[in-house]
Amino acid sequence: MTEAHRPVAEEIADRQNRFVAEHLRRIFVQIYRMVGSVEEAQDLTQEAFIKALQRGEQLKDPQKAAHWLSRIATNTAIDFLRRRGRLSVCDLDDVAEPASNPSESPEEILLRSERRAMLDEGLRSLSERERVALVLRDVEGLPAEEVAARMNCTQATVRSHIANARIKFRKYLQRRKL
Amino acid sequence: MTHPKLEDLALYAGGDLSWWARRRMARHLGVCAYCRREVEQFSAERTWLEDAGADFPQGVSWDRLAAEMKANIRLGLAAGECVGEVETPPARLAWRTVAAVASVVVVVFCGWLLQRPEPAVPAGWVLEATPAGIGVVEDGRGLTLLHPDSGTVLLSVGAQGAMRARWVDTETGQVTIHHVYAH
Repeated sequence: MTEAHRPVAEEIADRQNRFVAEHLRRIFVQIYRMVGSVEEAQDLTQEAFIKALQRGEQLKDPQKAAHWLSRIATNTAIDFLRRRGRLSVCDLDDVAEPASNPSESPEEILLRSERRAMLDEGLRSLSERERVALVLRDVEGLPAEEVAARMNCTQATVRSHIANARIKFRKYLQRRKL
Repeated sequence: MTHPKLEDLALYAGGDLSWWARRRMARHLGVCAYCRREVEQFSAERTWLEDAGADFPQGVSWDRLAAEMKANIRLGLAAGECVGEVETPPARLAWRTVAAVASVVVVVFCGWLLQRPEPAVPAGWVLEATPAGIGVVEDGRGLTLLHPDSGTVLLSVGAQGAMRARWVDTETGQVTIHHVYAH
């Protein structure tokens, strides 16, 4: 690399770092909800960002960067689930460090912790397709047609997955409350 | 009163029913308190799911994880750039490709010249059709397949050195074909 190219390369690297810092947490959580494992979500998040940054020229409208990245992340996770053919059990027990907001009271921390555990367990009670459809529709808030496009199936099929997932999730929550 | 299916109530709560089905459902919900409660519960669960979904996974140290991921992403991008630079085709590769393709073309052409198809009928052999039958003759000697004297016999000659006689037996209706090849 010549001296003349260095500032341009540094500028690109800075822009990429800002892009990663801005979206990393959201994309990691999105992928984690779909695959249910921290380690796998970590690998897939990295893969999604590398793909996105390498294909940066495909992004026509910078205003849609978040949506574009989210789509790459979803596709990366769905491809992974297809390759694997099943969902793995969550391996959160391996990670012992508690993460909490210092401004939260102990009661709030406890409630949040319970909610996270319920969500993880509830999502694990669903089939892979139900889980992906529910996460994309109800957690990510994508319209059903967009979910169908990402999952590469018909809208009728996606609606069926969403309905089944909502009913199963309700049954799970009812069991937990008993 | 007939209640809608639970699946439809779940879809209605998320706004996922078609326009017409939504209208019908709204009419039913206007008079059915039970289904209204079901829909409200589904809506509350969706809100819960949306809020809980935004929570960070339990027991994960985000700072450590984020630093690790950022480093790996930078590493991945750098590795990608290296691979990209190596994969850039040098100019002489085009000449090599042309030379390789030209060699293959020459070999195929020579092979075709050497394996050119021979004339189908050997010299001195004659395919012959007479009122009595069809056959091959060489130097006045030959073999003839006879067909019946009566009835119509259809004769045809193939471009590859073959002759065919076809007729229908007037008594049995059976079709017979004689096919004689001269090679």
